Amino acid sequence: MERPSELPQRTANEGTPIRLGGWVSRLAGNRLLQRLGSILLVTFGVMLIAFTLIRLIPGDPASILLGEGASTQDREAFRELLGLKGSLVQQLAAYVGGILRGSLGTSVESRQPVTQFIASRLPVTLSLIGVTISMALVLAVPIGILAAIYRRTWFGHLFRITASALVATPTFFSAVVAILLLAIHFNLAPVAGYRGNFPANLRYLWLPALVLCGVQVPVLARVLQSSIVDTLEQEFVETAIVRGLPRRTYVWRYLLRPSLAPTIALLGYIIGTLLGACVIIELIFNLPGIGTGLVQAVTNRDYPTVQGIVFVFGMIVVLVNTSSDLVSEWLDPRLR
Amino acid sequence: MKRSSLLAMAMVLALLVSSVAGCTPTERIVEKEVEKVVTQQVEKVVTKEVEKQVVVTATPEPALGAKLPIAKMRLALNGPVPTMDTYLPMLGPAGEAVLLATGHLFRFDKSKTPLPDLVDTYSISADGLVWTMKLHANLKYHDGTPLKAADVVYSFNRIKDAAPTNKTLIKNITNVEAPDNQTVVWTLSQPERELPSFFANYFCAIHPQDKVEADKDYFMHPLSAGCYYIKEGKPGDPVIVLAENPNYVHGPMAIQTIELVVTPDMTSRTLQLGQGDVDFVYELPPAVRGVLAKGVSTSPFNIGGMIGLVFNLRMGEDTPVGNNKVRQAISLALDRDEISTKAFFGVATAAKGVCPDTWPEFVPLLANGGKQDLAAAKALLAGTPCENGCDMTLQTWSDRGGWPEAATVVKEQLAKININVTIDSVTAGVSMARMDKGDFEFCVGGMGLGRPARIWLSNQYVPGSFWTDKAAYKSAEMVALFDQAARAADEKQYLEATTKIQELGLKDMPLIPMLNRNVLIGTRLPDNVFAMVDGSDIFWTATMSEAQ
Repeated sequence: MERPSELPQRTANEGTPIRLGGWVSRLAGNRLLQRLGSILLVTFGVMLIAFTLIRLIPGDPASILLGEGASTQDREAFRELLGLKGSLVQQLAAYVGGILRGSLGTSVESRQPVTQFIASRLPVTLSLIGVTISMALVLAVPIGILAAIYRRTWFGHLFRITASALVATPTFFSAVVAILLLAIHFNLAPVAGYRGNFPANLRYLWLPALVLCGVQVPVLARVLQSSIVDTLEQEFVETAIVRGLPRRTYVWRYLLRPSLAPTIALLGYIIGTLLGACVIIELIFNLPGIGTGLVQAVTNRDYPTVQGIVFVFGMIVVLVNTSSDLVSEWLDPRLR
Repeated sequence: MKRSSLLAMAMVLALLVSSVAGCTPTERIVEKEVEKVVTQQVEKVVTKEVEKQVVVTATPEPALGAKLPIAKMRLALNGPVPTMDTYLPMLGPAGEAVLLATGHLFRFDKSKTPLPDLVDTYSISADGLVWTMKLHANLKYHDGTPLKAADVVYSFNRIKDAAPTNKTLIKNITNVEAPDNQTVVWTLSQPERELPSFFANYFCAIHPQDKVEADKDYFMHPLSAGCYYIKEGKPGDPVIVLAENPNYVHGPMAIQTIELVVTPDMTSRTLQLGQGDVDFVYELPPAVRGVLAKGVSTSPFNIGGMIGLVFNLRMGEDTPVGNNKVRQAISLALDRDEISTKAFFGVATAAKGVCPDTWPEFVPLLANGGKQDLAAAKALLAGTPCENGCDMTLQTWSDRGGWPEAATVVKEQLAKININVTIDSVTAGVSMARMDKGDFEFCVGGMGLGRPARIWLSNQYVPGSFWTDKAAYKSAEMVALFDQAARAADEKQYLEATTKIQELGLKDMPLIPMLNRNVLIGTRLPDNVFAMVDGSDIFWTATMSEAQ
């Protein structure tokens, strides 16, 4: 396959496994250690923040969960059972010890392991994020390319205006409008009652995913557009045009691939923000995901569950960001 | 360039088509039998109906319930069912699921009278201290496992000291034993006339000891000797399917399958009911009363209690909230009808006494019949810390529909007697934490639990119980009256005692009753098949014989 000479030159051993020897391996090892270190540090920080914040909110799990029927004595006994009698330091030490043993604790409400609770809720949230990202990419990539190529035409102007309007629309508002229009008026989606596994659950997921796409697609498309515009100004693109390369090769190898790195990096960030956005969207669409689980746990002051969910959220965000960095580096060697 | 743009367009179209195709109406799970029961005209756009202001009466359509049994109904729960183990705390929905899907010795009828369920007959000794309950012969759990009297003893002993168990009715039980496979004997230190109410509540679900102890996940798929059992799903799932228990002693049931659909959001529950996605909703926003789709019956329902104002008596007699005369004046200054109309659209109705007005124990004891009397209120304030006006902070639970609005109306009304109220709207959890610490002046509270009235009243006036401790109310005279009610030999003595309790309660006034605690329920089913138990948040399902 021919390669334009203007493309950033790769190393001689590109495409073959890098031999980790000498200073290269030391450098790679250091980078790996650095990444691992930052992952651990961020995760620990997130865990510590979750542990502290949930305890700063006034409210006693025993009072909330036992309700009116329980006496003062019952509530005291329940607090003891939950291990809420010890000092904060003791509770933190017990929690960190549990994590090191692979346990995120036991739910105050259901007395089931938090890992089990998260395992039952996470697939719903990940499915929603997966559907959202898939829809967003399918929509954003062609729109971004078209918006870059036709940036000086009516399409480019329309794209800019629409994108600005969509980004400025709060998700909770567009969600309510979507429910009113598509779920109630046209009866194209259920309002609540999520059930089933893939692909049956798509019936419940497509509308919330579409609402989330309302913000993500314009952002992704705008980034891709500006990236492609930058790429178009590169000399190697002109060379490709002069050489009369086939359109598919030109678009993929010379336009899209060098322009995708910022979009991929952004995708990592977007997945992180989607985890947060899912909390609201799951509540509005009554999806039994980790977001509604988090709200329920905060409402009931279910400390171990809140800590566990936030910890897992943090882990996912860190891992996704690291992965997106690695993919970006693979796509664009200049980032290495 | 044209090819790439066409490709992009095709991809967008393909995505939209595939998304829409994933939710074709043919996939909608609508059972034929339920479709026959509900009317054919299911209006999909709630807003349109609101505009039309179609007033729907509480009487169901004539076609409803024409054919029994009903194959399936879908019940929207207002919260998740995290567990089926009554040893653990459970909020409303979980308790409701337990009552539907496990066996109990007694079962409430629609009027909240506990009727023998797994118990066939029972007798009480002359001194009221020994209850002998005979179980039905050949009782079985849904899987065919025999149910023995020893299971009752085990199940009771397991939960009797558990924190979530309300112990008021069982505190006098000193011994329980099973002399044979069919008999359970309870020995009490003092008579307790309401004992069957405890066994009809969710606390004491009957389970086999060997299975509970052998399987750490037993309560994810518990055995049931009650009306229904869990057929699909498990605690924590968004949808749990209950099937009729083939071994239920009073079966068959009028509804064969009940789907519990967890929908915590009130608006979504309303839309589900309007769209025909569920058939019964326990709590609807008061604003949608009578304006939902045809075939949906909406009606206010008393869930067993009052909405009132709770005062912090720790503050002392020389403070506005601690002063008895000020509290009496506040009660007189309230226009309860206005609060009902403005904050609850008339769903929660004005209180006239301490108990809800549908209860046998109700006595219209509120001064001036609960009507506003500003002149009398101002006269009472003479010589109090509020004689020349005063400031108070009213705490309210922001996450309860209508409560913050009620607080606003109370603020307006108290301004007329120169009491300047600042509203502090916080979530239930925060509010409870503050009240536990005594860090509040007065608050909007919901006195729940339902009948028996003695238990409900004790929650407000007997130290050690929820609202009494929040208000820091202590009265030896009151405790003695409760003892008198517990020992009442007959209904007349009991009602005399409960009336005295209410009179003393209004005299000391740690709480001011404002409104009957009603919620709006919506149903597509006739109430001879599925309804709420009067004065509670418990569901009642009919057997075939009851429905017919």
